[in-house]
Amino acid sequence: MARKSSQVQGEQIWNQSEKVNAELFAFTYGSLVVKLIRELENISEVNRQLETMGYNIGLRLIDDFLSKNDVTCETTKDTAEVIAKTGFRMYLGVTCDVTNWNADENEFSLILADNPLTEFVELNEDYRDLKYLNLLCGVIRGALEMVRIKSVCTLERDSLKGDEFTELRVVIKEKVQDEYEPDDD
Amino acid sequence: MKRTTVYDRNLKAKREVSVSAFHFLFSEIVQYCLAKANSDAQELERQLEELGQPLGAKFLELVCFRDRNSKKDINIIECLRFIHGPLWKTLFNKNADELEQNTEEHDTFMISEKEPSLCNQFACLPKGDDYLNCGAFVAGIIEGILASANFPAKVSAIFKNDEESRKTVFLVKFNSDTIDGNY
Amino acid sequence: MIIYDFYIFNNIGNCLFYIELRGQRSENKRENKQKLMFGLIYTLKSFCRKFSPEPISVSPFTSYVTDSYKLHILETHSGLNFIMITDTNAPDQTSCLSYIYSNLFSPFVLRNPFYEPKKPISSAVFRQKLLEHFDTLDSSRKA
Repeated sequence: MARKSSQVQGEQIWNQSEKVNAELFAFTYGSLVVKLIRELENISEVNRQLETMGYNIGLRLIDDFLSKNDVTCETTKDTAEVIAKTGFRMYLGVTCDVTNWNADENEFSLILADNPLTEFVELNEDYRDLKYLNLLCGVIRGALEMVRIKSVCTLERDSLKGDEFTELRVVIKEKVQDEYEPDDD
Repeated sequence: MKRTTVYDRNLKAKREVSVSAFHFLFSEIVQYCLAKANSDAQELERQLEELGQPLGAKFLELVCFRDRNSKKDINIIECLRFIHGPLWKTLFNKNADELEQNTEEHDTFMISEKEPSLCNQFACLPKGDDYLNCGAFVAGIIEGILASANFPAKVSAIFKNDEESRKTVFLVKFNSDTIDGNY
Repeated sequence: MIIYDFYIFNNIGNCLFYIELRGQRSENKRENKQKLMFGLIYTLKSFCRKFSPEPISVSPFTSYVTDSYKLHILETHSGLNFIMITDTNAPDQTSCLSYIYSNLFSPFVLRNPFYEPKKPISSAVFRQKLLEHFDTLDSSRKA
């Protein structure tokens, strides 16, 4: 069910939503990354911080997403499609391709050909270990956690480092239950 | 195969993202700075200004590149008009509401927005929030532009409430040697 | 329609927001009520799931009615519960609760830079917008 309409759904919400200049968005993010590089000890700390910030964004963003999308994802394939076609589209105005499924169908890759966050960005040699887009990995992890899916998301390939495209690898670990326990049973 | 790089990009193309994407990113930036600032309002504003400053130079270049009528070497008034007009339009899709000079202090100008805008639209602190304005980020952008146009100034974002609405005023105070002979 | 109470709970039973529209109770009583409320809907939902011939993912029930009030609930996929207590004659409020979720909660809570996820909502603007919305639904509140 989700598969058929996720693209259309993303398109519709995108068309209706209020927009802002993508450069303002990209430069703001760039300014944050520079601040983190200046304030934190090393690049791996920066990568970690970006992922954490993304995670916190995911915790918020999911409810904005769900309040505008009535989706039911039965399978991991549905989930992947919804992230790629609706999620990316409605916030960043781009879609990604879902590829490289493993045999168990709990791991997949999101391929980003084009991405407003990297507009005007160039990484010089000093920052070859910087995972500029780690924020996106965090967003996906945080958002999925709120719908009780534990996942790990990593930046596998990066067009900023000469790869042909950007690849985010998503590994679904487990689906969890809510932690609430009534006082007495 | 030739890869596309930043230099191949069409600078004239206008791209957009959803405003909520910006709000989510900005919120997390505020949260990060808030922790860094130990919840001190002034320190938070200072950090937001600092984050905004580098954007000034970038937008000055971009807007001048796109809009032939905007020249870079201009006087103070023209520079402020540029911020009030073309720059604001690029950032927020509209002109700023007002631009005026302080009648008593001639080195001080005010750019005002009648409605809360992008950065402070949904910002709401637990107990009254007039003492903290997230528009500080935009103030930083303005400061950055004025600095790269060689008119150094201190810009701060403040709230001004009247009966109907809550205005955000960007107070532009030029250094005294900037103002002499420049307008 | 008369609206008595409005609650927002998260998935693990923390009350993020609570407002009493008819009279204030002491803090002690408020806390008690919140606990009871979450326990109640949690149990009810488990019942609904247990007796259902087919698996249900979210919102197994949308309202129940007693002699003196009606309870309406919207559960989101993220485990938030929006709950409203009204008079017994009130029609279905699913669309009202979805409206609050997408048009009030989403902008005024989620997009407020000072909001911390999973913590109680302190935004005065959200509160005010919510009350304004309730005024349009509950004509007796206007006076």
